[in-house]
Amino acid sequence: MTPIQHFHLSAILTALVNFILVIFVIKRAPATQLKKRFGWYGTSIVFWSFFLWFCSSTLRAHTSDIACQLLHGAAILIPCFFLHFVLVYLNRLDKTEKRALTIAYGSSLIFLMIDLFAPRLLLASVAPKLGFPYYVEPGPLYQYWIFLFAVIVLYGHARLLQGVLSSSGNLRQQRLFFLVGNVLGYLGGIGIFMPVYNLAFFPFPYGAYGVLLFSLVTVYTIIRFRFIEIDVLVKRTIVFAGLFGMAMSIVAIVSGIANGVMGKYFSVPPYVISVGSALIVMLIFDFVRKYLVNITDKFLFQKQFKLSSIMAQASQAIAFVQSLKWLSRRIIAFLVTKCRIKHAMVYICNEQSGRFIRGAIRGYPVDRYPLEELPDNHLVIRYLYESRRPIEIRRLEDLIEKNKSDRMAQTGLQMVLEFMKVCQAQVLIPSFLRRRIDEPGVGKEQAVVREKDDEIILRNILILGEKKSDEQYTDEDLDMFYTLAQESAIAIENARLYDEAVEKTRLLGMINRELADTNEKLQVTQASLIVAEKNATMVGMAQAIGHEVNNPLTTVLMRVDTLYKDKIKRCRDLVEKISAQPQGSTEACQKLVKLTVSMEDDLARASRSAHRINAVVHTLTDILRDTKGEMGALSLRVLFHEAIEATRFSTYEENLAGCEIKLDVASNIMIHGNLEQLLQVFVNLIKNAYEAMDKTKERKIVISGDLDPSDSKRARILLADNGPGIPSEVLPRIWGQGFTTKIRQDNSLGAAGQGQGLFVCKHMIESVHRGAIACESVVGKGTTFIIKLPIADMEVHYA
Amino acid sequence: MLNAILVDDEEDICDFLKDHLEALDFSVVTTVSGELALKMIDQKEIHLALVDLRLLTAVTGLDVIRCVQQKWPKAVVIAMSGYVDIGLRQETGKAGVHGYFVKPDDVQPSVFKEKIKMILEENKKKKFVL
Repeated sequence: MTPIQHFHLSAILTALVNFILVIFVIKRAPATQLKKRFGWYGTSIVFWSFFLWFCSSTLRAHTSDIACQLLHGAAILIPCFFLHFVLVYLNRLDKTEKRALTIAYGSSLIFLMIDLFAPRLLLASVAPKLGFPYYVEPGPLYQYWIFLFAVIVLYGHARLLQGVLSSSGNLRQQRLFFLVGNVLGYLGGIGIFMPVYNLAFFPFPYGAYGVLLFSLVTVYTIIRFRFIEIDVLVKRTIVFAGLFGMAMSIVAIVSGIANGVMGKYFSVPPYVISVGSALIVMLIFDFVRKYLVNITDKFLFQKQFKLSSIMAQASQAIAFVQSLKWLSRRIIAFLVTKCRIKHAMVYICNEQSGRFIRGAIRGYPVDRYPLEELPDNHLVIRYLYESRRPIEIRRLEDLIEKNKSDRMAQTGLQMVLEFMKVCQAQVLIPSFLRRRIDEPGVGKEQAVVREKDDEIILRNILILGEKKSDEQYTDEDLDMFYTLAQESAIAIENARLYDEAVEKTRLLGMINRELADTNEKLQVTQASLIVAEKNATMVGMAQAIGHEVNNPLTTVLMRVDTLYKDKIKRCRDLVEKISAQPQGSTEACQKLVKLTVSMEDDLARASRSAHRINAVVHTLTDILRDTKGEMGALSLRVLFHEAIEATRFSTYEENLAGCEIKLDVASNIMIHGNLEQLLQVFVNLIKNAYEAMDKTKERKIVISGDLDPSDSKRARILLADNGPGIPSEVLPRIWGQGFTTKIRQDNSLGAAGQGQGLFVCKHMIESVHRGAIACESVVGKGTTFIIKLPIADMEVHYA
Repeated sequence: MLNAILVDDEEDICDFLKDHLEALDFSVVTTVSGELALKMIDQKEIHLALVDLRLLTAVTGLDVIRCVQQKWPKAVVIAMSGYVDIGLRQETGKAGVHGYFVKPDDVQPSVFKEKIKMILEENKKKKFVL
């Protein structure tokens, strides 16, 4: 290829590449200053290169001339746009720089005017030179313009170089590449201007390649260093274009084969085949496109998420209340998978300690896990409280740049930035809840408006890493995530409450089990207590019997022993003495009489005691025998023991439990009466007392029996309880037939509350036994029944 | 003259044993009531006390026994009962009586005499002036 052809090629290529680049930037990059500046810069280069090509290739002088004018118009503006772009890029638009820019624009504008309205001053003419059909002939002011051009360009480069040197890391690389690109471009540009002065050495004629190189380097910078935020798009488009090309070629192959086959074997006319192929291509085009989008989605993430569907899915995902751990994992999983984020984690505020504990975490390399816990006065948390908005790392960087003057604020912001870098976070999203739910049962609105009604609490912090598609987070994204975070805060609160409820239920279950255990133990204890009491009673019975029988038995034995071993012998001696000496035996006779009296006394006592034993034994054994109203001698003490036992039996499970019974009956009191009836009376009275004391705490029944002080032939029995007592107006009526204060219980046996008890008792005691029964009571203190019964006459059997 | 006190809720037994103790050269006072017993203890020196554990009064046999031991530490104290209850036995053991009679067995005239004599002999050996 000839140099001229190179020249043309490079020029047109430059125009094309830059054109595409500019289109991309204008259409896709976010609307920042930078994009605008690049837009202008790029466009001016496009124009320039296009008209350059046009000017140097057209064969008509006039066209070339016009093109030349236009190309210079663009060329005049290039350095200004370049400088402007550099200044915006470096963020150095302060007063001095602005002044410089204004000078540049101003002076360039003058030349622009000259170019448009007095072009001959700048461009003398176009003439063939150096193999071009036509090329520029410089005018008188041309060199001044070149000078201005150079000054501005150098100034721009100087600033750029400064920018490179003053930065580090990624930013430095980025700036360096751009600088290099520009240098190459302008060096190349020199090659373009050389023919003006008929200079034909290097970089001519390959100079335009330099400019082309500049474009390519810019593209690379964009992709590699995220120069302008279209790197992903560029990437994607390249990949997509490649794949599409591949797919289309397959389609072409297929249709080509079909063509050939059809043509060969079915002799279909060619136009039919072409139409057919076109149809096939049309039909499958959309399908192929969609298919490609799908399969490249994993790599290119072309599918933009629709905000509404994301939100709907998110709401669904977190609406299900489960444990906190599960919920936080679900949220993070959602973010990572559906929202295509590389890594994410959440810090959840712990109610009690106020610290933020790391919840679910996903996508981080294991050895680079961020902090497990944040204290509640952590810098980031305080900053979030202040700003109450999501923090995005680049906006934060911008903020730091802007706040260079305020040292204090800057340090704080720097530290937040550091934190974000450590966590590899792109965005921090706080979620606040309005009211702290720490009062149980608060279901209604607060009636009183509290002072701190505007109190909001930070509940959790969502930390999002980079998007998988490497795109930046747009404002829309941030809004959506913020809403999501708010929703999740509510869900988290629910989950926390749910966890609490689960825990409390578990504790309740534990307590219930313990209670059940205790209950079982209690029942066992109760059973053994009943047994013990029965034993105790039996012991009591045995004691009573032992005592009741042994005492009289002692008398019998003692007296009989004396009689047998001593007195009878003396009797015999005296009788022999008297019979031996009938006359002088007055003394002996007197002694004998005395002795017999004593013996009589002994025998009487023995007899009485024997009868007592008999009565006691009868009292015990006649329980089961139907006495048919027989009256006999009964041991009062044993009788009462029996009565107590019988009452225990008749109150079933209650067993007279919880009631202390004190028996204070003299053991030698024998009463004359009928066993069955007396038992009935005593049981009735004891039972009444027990049931009346249902609500009394320390129930006590005291039964005492002794000789009636006013009548020695009667026994007096007192049955006292410490129950609620009977009011004085009710007292006279208790003996009446049908009087009752008891409500019939469903499962009670016997004549509960039929009102027969006391009526019958009175009849038995008074009519049958010829005794007396009375009742005294003090409300609040207790009731005492006084029974008088006749003493059994032990001597009744011998006249 | 040696004094004895006899406390039992059976009057018969009191009378009977009184005769026997008087035969052993004791001056005997008897009562069925614990309170009266306490009064009697205060009145003159007691050398021998026979106390039934089952008394019908508020003052129990054990109370009487303890009172005697306090007031007349040198007295011989014998407890009596119609019913052998292990619990009661232990308590009297703790109280430190010199003998334990079970009615009616130990109270039979012959048995009674022997036992009393034996107990008194034993106490003599323990530097007891009788």
